[in-house]
Amino acid sequence: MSGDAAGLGRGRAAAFVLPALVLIGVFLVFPALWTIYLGLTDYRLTGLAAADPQVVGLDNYTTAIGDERFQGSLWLTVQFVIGSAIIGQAGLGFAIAWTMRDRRGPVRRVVEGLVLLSWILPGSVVAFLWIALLDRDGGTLNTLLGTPENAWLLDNPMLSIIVFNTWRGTAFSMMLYAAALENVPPSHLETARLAGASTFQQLRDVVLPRIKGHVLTNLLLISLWTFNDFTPFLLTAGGPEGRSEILPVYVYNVAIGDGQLGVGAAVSFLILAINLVFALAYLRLIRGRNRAEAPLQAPSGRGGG
Amino acid sequence: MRRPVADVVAVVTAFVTFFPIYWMVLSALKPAGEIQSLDARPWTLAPTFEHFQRVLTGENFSRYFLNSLFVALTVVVLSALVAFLAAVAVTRFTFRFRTTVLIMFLVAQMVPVEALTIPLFFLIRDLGTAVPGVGLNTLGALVLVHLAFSLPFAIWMMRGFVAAVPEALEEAAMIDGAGRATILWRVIFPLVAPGLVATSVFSFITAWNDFIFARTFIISAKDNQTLPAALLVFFKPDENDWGGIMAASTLMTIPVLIFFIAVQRRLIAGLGGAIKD
Repeated sequence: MSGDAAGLGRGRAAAFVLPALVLIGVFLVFPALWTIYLGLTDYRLTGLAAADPQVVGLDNYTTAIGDERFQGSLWLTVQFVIGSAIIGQAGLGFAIAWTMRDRRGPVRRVVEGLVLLSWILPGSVVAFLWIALLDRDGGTLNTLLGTPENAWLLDNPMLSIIVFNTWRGTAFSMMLYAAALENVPPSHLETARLAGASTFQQLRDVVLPRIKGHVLTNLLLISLWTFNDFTPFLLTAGGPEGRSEILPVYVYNVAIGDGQLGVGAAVSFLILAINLVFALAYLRLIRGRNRAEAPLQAPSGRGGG
Repeated sequence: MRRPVADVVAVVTAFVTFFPIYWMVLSALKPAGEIQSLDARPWTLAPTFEHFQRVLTGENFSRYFLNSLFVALTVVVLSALVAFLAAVAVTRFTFRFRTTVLIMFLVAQMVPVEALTIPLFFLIRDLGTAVPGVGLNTLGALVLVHLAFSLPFAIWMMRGFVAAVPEALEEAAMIDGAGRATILWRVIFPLVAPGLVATSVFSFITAWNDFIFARTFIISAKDNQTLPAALLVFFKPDENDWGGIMAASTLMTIPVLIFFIAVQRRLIAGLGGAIKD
């Protein structure tokens, strides 16, 4: 696509990207660079180092990486991403999309609508909902299960936030896979079924090759979102004793809670670096796929529904 | 799995998903005495609007509501416009740093929001002294920051839609004597409208749901608070006012819901289109 079909002209094209570039540059890139700089200083929220921060080089990074709390937090984040994003959201989302794939009419609309609802609710609202649900004294779940005094958020903090995030985010995966499954011609599935392929074989040989791009995009986006998700803070604040302190919460607790802005900034940069690794791996996979296959056609949109 | 079984499982899953939301509306309608009782029933025989009434009349709730609405709608309109133009430029024109720009959009999307809160606080503070209307305690600051944060994803999604518009269409329009502006607004724009709609849902939801920025930038101007602050009012150290919390939460959910239902169909088609690129 080397042409200039819209007849933009070089200057106009530049003018078109400029607003976006300026906004992203000022409010995203610049603060991000600032964060990198902060990560190299002993900047603190209060006290002497707040007035006159000194550059301390990579001290913050070595401190953080050697810190057991950071290592534990990283491991919890991995559990959180695998448990809630990959198994929970993508797995459940695909299962629902697959089940509903040739459904039309009320059943599908009701199921989709209900699942979507949990996705669009404001984060602060859902956090309060879940606190009410899981509360020890008079929490809804305890009342319904007849298990008073069961402190879900204290006894199983990780499980709580994993279930919470699965509940919260499944809709996005479901929608994406529902759209993707529209691309799988029913006749192919029919043929496979007549040839005696099991559901698993159909999924592996007929469906997966056609929706691979969607699967990759989906996994990338939800992994990144989950990796950076701060909402669990509202449920457990990382506690008790740091047992649900995933990385974004760790950053907040270290930077705002303990006032160590420098260390917080350094860890933020580590998070960004990990995100970048994810994204690069994704780009490689996509590029490999595009070389192997013919370019995809224009979107067709989902009729009816 | 046989079809009826699968259907039942899907419907049950959906209802389990829906349960907390049902509980929210239910608790908002329950009389005060019934909410915290130990034999909580999943229904109420005496629904009441007392909590809604209390929420709507007290504590500046309607003011916060309008503030939130203003921020979210402004972000949606500006974000759609800016993202559309940028997407046209990066898909329809090859320029020197195009790849760099695209990668920057992608990377910008991954910056953890909490990490930027502190630098952004200083930035907004300093900006406010130079430009009136966008400093601390202003809604303009919230609009600008949310706009910037919504753009990378919006542009990334719009790219797929603009690329899907056949260039032959534009060439045909040009041969028919259409000017550049006409091509942009009368040919490309209507064709990518579904994409814009899908994208704007994201912008709206993130701006409307935000509490981190609102809490960071709006420190002392009580009149410029947004909804999350209104929710916090009902949390009290000794006894939380669950009726109030749930009623306020329900009210806070309604605009997202309306916005969402209006575009749900286009959203699903839109997502399919954007990701295919």
